[in-house]
Amino acid sequence: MNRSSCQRECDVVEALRGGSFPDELRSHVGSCAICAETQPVAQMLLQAASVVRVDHELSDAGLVWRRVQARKQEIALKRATRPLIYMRALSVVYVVLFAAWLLHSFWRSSSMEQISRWSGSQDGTACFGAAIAVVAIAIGAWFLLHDGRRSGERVPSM
Amino acid sequence: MCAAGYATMDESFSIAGALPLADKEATAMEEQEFRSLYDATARPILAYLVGVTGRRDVAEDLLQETYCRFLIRQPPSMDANETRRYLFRIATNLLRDRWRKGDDELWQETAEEGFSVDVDTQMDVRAAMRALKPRERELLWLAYVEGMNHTEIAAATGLRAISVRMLMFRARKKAAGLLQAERSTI
Repeated sequence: MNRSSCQRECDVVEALRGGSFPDELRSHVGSCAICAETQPVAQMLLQAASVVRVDHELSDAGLVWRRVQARKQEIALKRATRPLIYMRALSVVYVVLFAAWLLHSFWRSSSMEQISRWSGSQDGTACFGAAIAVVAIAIGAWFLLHDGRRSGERVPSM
Repeated sequence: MCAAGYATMDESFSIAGALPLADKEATAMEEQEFRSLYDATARPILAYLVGVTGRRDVAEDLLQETYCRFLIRQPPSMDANETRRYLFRIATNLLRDRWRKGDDELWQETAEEGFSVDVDTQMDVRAAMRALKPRERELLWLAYVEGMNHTEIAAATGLRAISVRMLMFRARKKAAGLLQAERSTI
């Protein structure tokens, strides 16, 4: 019968770990193809593991802890600045759309006509306010982009 | 396979309640708890990483990264064995990430760093490990060194238990054949 595992495989490994190999188990290994393969492989790996565990010093837990804390701070910083990134993107989109609209409207009617209509309109105050808002958004977008580039240089990536 | 694993962790250890970082006292408590977790689990994981990669420096980096990911993900309350399996799972995923990048070739060049003792058995280990596939190394190590059963290995590797059984069968056969060939040439 072609088996892929033996119920006594565990006993073989346990015996190797414990360092005592009873005769009864030895005779089983002699008659079981699975356990006959298991024994040398497990023995090899257990010897390798014991060498590794004795030879290798562990890093200090405090070092790992500090590294984790630094990483957590980086993640928190990224989370905190995420809304600013969205705002930055939105403001860029707004400025681009506004500029496109402005160019489009100038294209359709002569620029001088447009300006005189604006200046002569009764909604002059509203237009002035809108212009100030656009300028403020443009300055804000420029500042966010500029600041983002500078902070991007300072904060290491994850 | 074995019904119970060879857990070396202190069973009284628990990670529950170690998560909030409200004030300095809470941070100190958490650090202490982390230290006990690290002391209880790091050595077998380091051995696993060295055993599978054959590189001490790489294994140490991966060990630190394992604990970083563990703490950043902050898993819910787990008992000692679940925590152990979870850590092995993270370590195994990190190993897999390395292999996807093609970094496993390093085994062939500098495997001596992992097993520094120059005795016959260590020569056998090196030769056999070199010839085994990364996944085969993982499975054999988890089964025979960590004493995990197929279900536990499945949890630690992300494979299905039935696949673990078949892969283990092939890996064991291959490793036994390699050892036999190695010994017959000595």
